[in-house]
Amino acid sequence: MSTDQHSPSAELTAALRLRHESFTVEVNPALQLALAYDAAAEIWSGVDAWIYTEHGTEHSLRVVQHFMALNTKYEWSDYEKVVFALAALVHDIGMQYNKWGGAQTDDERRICDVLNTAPPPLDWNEVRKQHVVHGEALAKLEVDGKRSWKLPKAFCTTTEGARTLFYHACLVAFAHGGGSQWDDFKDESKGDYASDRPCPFGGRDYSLRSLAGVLRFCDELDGRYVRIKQPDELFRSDLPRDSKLHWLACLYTEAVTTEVTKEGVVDVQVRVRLPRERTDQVERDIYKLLNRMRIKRINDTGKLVDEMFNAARAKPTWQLVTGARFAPNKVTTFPHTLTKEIAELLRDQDNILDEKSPAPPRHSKGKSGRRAAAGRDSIEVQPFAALPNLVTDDSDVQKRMVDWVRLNQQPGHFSLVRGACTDVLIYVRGVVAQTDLVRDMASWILRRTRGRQFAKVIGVGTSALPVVVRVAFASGAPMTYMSHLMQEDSRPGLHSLGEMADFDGIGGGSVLVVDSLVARGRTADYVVRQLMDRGMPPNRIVYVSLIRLTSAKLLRKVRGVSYLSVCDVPDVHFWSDKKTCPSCRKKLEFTDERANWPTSRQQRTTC
Amino acid sequence: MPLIEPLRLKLGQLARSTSQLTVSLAQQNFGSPDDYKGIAAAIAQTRRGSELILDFTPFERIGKPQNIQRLLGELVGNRRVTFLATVGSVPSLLKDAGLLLGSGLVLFNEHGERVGPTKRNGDRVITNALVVGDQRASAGSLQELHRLDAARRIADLARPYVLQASQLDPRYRERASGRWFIRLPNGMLATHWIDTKRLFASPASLFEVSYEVARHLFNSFCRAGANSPDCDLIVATSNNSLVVAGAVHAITGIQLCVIDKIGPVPSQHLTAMNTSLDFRDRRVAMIVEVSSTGSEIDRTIQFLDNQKARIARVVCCFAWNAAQPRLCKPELLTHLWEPPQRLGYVYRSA
Repeated sequence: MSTDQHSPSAELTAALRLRHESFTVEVNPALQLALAYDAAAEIWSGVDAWIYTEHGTEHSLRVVQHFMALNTKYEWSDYEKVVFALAALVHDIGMQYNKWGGAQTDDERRICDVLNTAPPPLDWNEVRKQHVVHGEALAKLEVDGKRSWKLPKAFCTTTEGARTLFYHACLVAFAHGGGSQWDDFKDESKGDYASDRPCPFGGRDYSLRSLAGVLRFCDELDGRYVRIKQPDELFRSDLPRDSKLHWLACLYTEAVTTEVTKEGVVDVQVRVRLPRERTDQVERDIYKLLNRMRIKRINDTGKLVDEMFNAARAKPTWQLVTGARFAPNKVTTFPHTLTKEIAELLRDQDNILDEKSPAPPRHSKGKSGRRAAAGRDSIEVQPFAALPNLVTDDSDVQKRMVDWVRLNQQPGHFSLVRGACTDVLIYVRGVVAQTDLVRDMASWILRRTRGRQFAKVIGVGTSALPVVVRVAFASGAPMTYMSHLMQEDSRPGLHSLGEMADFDGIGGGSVLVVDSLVARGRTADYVVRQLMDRGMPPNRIVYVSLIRLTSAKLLRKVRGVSYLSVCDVPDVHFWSDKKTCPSCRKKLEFTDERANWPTSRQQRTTC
Repeated sequence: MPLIEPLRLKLGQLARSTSQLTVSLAQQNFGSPDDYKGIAAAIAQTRRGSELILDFTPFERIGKPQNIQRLLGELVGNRRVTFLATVGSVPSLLKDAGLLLGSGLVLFNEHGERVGPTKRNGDRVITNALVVGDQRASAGSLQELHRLDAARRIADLARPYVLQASQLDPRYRERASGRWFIRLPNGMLATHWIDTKRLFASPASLFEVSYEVARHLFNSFCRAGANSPDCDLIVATSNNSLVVAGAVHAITGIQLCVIDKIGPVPSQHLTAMNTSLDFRDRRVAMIVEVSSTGSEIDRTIQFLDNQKARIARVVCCFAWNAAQPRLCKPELLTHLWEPPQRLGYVYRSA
């Protein structure tokens, strides 16, 4: 169990801003939250129904954030906060039924046998339909003290008070899908659900009915792009069409924010996220989709919550007066390869959800909007491949690389290993540790060179190698590499044999060269010359630099060769020798690059 | 007996089609008709009536029984197939697909230990030792089976790239004591040399080697270790290592860094390029492409130890075994390939 003050469960406890008004030593809220969080995190490690939007602990934490954003209006008691947080953690555990349903119990049965439920694995659609039933059944055994398995972990301690707390959380949690539990809450004759019950540990009264309503509302608010973990899987699974629309609605929702106004109105704003390459038609379709799958559903859920407040005989001021709307002038564009299938699905919404939609709000048109207005269709429609990259998030890789370079550089006057000088030392090698950057740079290169058949991929410089490996895997082209220090016969013996890039025997097709850093392009020039000397036409050479120092002019640019750069760095200067370096000419002191490398002491140890 | 691994095929397919390939993605995505077409193609390369092993142990789900039956039924029926699976739902699915009639089934628990024999109606449960290639996996653990399989595969891959000094260009060899030797960059002499750069040039070979490394790091993709390999950082010690480590990084998603320029050339000093990483308390898996005496490994361990990292695994793809690293605990060190005795490898001073 995580008890570290920076652990997610500790952050969750902190986010609840408890006033410690209503708990006993026996039921420590931080302990109960930590236990429940760990149990939920264990259940969600290794997501089973990955085709659905994210339902794990991250989702639970965001639901709690939405709940706390309403605190100014409702002033939740401590007990309500803890019950709600536990409910948020537990409400979707049934989505992982295939993972825990087959787990062994102490008497060598399976949990599904104990629960008398269908043995896993179930069809994912069935998992989704039954997730409330399954989750509730599992939690009920825990509440009844009949838990007889090691995994999934316990959600609460075994004291009576802790079980009561967890029981209340379960009542709230498993009403979120509607159904009988939700209806029971509205039934006056169900004594268990009576409103405004006194807190078992003293303190203010609590209302489970109200919490159940708010959980459903907050669950609906968390429909954002962050819940789409694998966007490119949308068309590869047997997802029902309405689920696909839910996916897309999440994908195009940047954020949903709530704010309680002075009048007590909950102002819900939906910030839209539009693909960079889009037409007016596509934009209209996206707004239509979001209007139906976000705005309308949030407003409808608000009405349901009010029904629950009425059942709870809550104060009139508790009525959830809300009118969800699009956030004005706040449109985020994001890189997105809009495929034919997505465009068709967006167009085809009317067949699925036959409703009228209002016009999208006015907002400042971006560059692509102007392009579209000029009548040029800029949608990139691709044929559907067996394993497509439907949505790639690599177009902002240039910006992320620039940011990374800024963070991984040191100004000064440096002498480099190869005899050159620079006024900013970039720790290029650190980029190999940036998993996302490496993946996205490979993706960027593959996208920019789409349509070319590569006969060879050549990596130049150590830092380029992980990118080159991914590109070689995806293109199927043989790969080789060389270092910037390498010139023909410059390092005699086996070094030359082992390090010399294999320029010979390249058949038909293009050659892709990926260079970690290009300043004046001496190595680039050498590589291009080597290839051309062996009969490679320039138009079949693509030279990509991961980092290009644009302040230095290239020695030679061969006509026909495609020079691409992932990241342009303008304010770093580079001189190929000390004679041309102005600082050296002024006889200013310089630092050897190697002085910055960490040094190991000569000590003998064992690992 | 050849071992066919659907996970290997699936990862290979992902590698060819997208820049995203990780073990978890492959495990989650497995089970489509395309996956079974790939398995069918692999099975079809074996002779009718021959024996083979089909390893479903990394998966919790394997798709729809009717698809499996449709695409594999006939091929499996014509061969003597032994299925490997982890205890759970997969054996029932295989049974529902009708593949266990006349086939063998070997069950493993989530730690890769053999379970059973379990009696199942009409199933033939293998009780004796499994044979991979010409080796017997007698201990009955999945890890042992995979180790034998890896040794066979890597030996096949390496064979064309192991060069004798006498075969090399005269510029790179010299004669001493009546034998041809290669002068290595550290001034030492060796009778053989493995051209890993050419071996790794082919994406298919590179994938094979890196898959074996990944399988080792993930403890044979057993459920118990599949989501939590015992390392959180891969360290490469040279450019050649980085090629393999980069591929392992792509397959596993584990963070990668490169530490080189720490020898063996004395002029390079005992330093490492700045990696911008804090190694303190990181659980490091070191990947070394070739090792002769183990000093390459020792130097890196020394550096990492100084940086307060913890060495979790050391995987050496090709080990000449002229000597063993002195700073590495033997249980942490794995060699994927070792020279056969008949090669007569000699490593000596000039």
